[in-house]
Amino acid sequence: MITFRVTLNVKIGLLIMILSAAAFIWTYFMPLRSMELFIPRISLGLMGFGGFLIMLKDFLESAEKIFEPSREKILPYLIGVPAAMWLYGWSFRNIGLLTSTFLFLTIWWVSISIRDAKRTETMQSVTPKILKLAALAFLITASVQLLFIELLNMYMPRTFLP
Amino acid sequence: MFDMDAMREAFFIVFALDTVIFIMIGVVVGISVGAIPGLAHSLPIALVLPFSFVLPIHQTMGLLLGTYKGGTYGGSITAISFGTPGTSGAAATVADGYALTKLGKGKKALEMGLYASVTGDVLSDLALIFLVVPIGMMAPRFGPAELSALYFLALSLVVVFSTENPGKGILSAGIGFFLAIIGRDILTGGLRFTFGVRYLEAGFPLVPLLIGFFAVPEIIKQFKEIISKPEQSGIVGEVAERILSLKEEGLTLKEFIGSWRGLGLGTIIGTLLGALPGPGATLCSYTAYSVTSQFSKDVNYGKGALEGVATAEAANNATCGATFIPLLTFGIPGSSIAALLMAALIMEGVPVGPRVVVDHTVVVYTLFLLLLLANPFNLLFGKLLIPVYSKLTKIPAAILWPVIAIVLVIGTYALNNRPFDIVICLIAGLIGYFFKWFKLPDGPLVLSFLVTPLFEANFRQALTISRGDLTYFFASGISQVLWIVTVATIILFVRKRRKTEGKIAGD
Amino acid sequence: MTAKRVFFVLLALTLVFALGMMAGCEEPAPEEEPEEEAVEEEPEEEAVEEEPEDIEIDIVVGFAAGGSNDLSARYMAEKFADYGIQANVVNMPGGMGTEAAYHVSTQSPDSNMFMWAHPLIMLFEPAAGDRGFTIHDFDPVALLASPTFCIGSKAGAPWEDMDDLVQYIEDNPGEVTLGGQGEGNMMHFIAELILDPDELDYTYVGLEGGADVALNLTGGHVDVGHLSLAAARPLHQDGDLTVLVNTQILVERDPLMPDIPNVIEFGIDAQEPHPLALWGPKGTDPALITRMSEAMSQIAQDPELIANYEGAGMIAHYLDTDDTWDFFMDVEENMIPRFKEWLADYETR
Repeated sequence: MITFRVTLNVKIGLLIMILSAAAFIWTYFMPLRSMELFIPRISLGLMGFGGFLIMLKDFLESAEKIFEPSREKILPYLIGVPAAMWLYGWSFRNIGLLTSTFLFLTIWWVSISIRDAKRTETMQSVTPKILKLAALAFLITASVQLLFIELLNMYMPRTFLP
Repeated sequence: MFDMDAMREAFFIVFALDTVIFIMIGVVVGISVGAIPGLAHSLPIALVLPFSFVLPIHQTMGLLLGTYKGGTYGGSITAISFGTPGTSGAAATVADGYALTKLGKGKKALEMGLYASVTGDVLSDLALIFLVVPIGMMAPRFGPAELSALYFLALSLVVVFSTENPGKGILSAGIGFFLAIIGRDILTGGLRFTFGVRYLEAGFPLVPLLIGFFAVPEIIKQFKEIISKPEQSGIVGEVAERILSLKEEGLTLKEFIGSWRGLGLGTIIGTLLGALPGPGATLCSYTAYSVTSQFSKDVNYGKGALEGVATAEAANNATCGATFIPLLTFGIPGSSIAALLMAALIMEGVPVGPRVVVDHTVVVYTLFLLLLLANPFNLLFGKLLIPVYSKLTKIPAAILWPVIAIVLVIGTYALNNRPFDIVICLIAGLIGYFFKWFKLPDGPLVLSFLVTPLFEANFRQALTISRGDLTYFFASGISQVLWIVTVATIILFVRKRRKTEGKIAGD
Repeated sequence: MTAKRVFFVLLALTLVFALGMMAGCEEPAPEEEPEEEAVEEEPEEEAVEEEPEDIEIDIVVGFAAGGSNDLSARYMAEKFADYGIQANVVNMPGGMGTEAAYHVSTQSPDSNMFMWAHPLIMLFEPAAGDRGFTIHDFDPVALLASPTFCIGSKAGAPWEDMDDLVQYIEDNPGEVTLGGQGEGNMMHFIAELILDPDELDYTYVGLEGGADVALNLTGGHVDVGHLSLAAARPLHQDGDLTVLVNTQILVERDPLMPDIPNVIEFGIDAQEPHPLALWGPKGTDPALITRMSEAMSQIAQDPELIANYEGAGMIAHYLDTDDTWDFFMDVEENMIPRFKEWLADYETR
């Protein structure tokens, strides 16, 4: 007996199929030689076929376990963490390696320790902890400078702060 | 053939205090810094090139080979400890290595990584010394047709990764193919799928892509834990500490010997593939990893088996010796590190070419001895640093992961001084997260990403040379053998899969 | 407890870095050595000491470390130190050197950043498509290095020189395969200037680079190859391939292999414009340019540099600022229109 189910797999498989089919058709409107489009077409074909199989499998096999992705709220982190990393990459090239490394680490640790202190109600002992972490941030900043600039001679644009 | 006088001379050059010190510095810097994502590739260049003007050749070579070998091994340390490969060659180590760390067997995994690396390395160095002529003579016989067949064989290994869920495997391979072709066409220079972004013209570089793919999802996950579960974030470290303080067991001789299949396959594949210009350590370790998966008796393979670590690490370090084979036989550098050594030799006035073994026997023997001598140092310093690294895993997540994230960003940039590499690394990270979330296998993506450019170039060159005649692909003996092996491999893997499926159904 | 652990780990890390630093610290010390040597060898250069002050510059190389492009820049940078110019070589590989050139073209004129580039990067690539810059975004400093390229044939080929080869292709249409470095670029264009596909029936195959061409020639997968003389020479001497002609534009015979004729000697006007020059962003201080150009004219005479360049398959050849500009403008006027025409034709093939 075949029962049709529309699971998440089916939806994603269908989406991938539509996207790759659209891109596949698009390749015929590209100003490239057929030789240059040989592998791209294979790749889009494979993606489409993969999406189709994923869809088909859930659609037909009712015995198969239903794919349950974690339902945790991940989207903010998915945007926030890479954005923060990119921002750091931008700032060390435009503001200064030492300044931005130290600031990024310190701001992060200070906010985390204040949050923890509020939660555990140990606000009175938070200052020494923050100082310790700032010292740690300084140490790490110094090692980063030693390693990448002094030892590896990494190319740095000239920035207005160190 | 063998020149005893030259060997004696080389021996005295190598076993002198200055040379030994330079190897040692190289290995220590290589291991400790090679573990930092992205650095293993740029480090030898930055460190050695400025020196090659002023240092004598044996010291330069000692430093270069030391950093190279140390770095190749060092990449596995972070792969095992934090799921963040330090080199693209260690990407295949993540699956089993990081799983072992989570199971509280990090020390075992680190030790296996070290011993496997050194074993693969020593055997590959010996292969270089004794087989340089026969293997080297084979290399030019691989023309576009033969290489097409070889890379098709490598692509067929995608099937192995895909047997569990063919749809997801094929999708993953398709994405790998697609990422590989973005950018400027390797032969004609036509722009493919760059969407008008100038920086995409150079394509997706391997190192930022692989490191981002594996490391960024882990970083995202850790930050989410820290932020969303404040009550645990302080304790995460302590949990790990409790696991780790349980007097963690090291690797036993029995376990090491028990992984002989992985060690053997890794070494053989690493040495043979490593001798060809093109594949590189990453492709070697992935190939070895997938081939071993078919022969391993360990049911946990892929989910925390020592054999998985053994085969991947043996294979990536086995390329260390083999990569010099085409250099010494034809003066053709097969990898960036071989090109660097060649540059250092040229700077010293040693013309590298087919006659280098005859004309500069002492230099070549010095290279051989240095390669061998770097291994005990790798073992020694690796062993000394393992406790340091396994202690690092005890640092609370809130302190450790921001530092890893920062070093990842700078390391990615330092590789080519290219700000856009950071963006590529982050995009690759988002793709990696999608793979984790949708439970897509990563093997097909990495394999097809690595092999596609090689296969495509050779396939098209072969078609041009033969003017479209397909029989050209089967013309030589080498290609015939390779095609037969390819077909046999696919049949074997599919049949094996059917059998295990039958068994599961029978249970 | 945890803090203590953290401290220990960091201590260990610092120790490791300190060890690394030891290696790093040695850097400035040996750098003094060449200066001493230079003083010994060239006492006549005392005038140099009157130079105003030491200056630090970046020389951007558009290719990875270790190649001939990179080596030539590093040899030059080493010698610049004798003239109070501390030059750092920065590798920015990507897009055949055009990414690096684009980066330098966007720098401010007082950034002390210079591009080490040949006509392939400065003229041919921008002519093939928008690369974000043209040669007119730069000011020339001087030209110093000229790598030699050559046409080689596989061992045991039934021809002995260029005339023979052309004759052979005429007699055996469709049989000969020529392996070059890529398709639709300057090297391909030059190869087709040498062997005109409209008149000769042979197959051109774009291989990936010089090493790839050498390997395919050695293995006999292609019959004729277009590659650098540095890569071909050892294989030629070993009998793995035969060098037929060189395509050097600045001198006829390469001192490295003086018995190899220049392509012009066969009446083929297809000398390869490959010389490397130093370029600053438009508006770079003329005084600095003059100072660097003068230093380069001295460097070009340095016997050590000449020998180093020879070892890497290059000729040390100095052209001053004006001559450099004229050389590049000559290429722009005479070759680029032909290249564009050829490219348009190639794209419709």
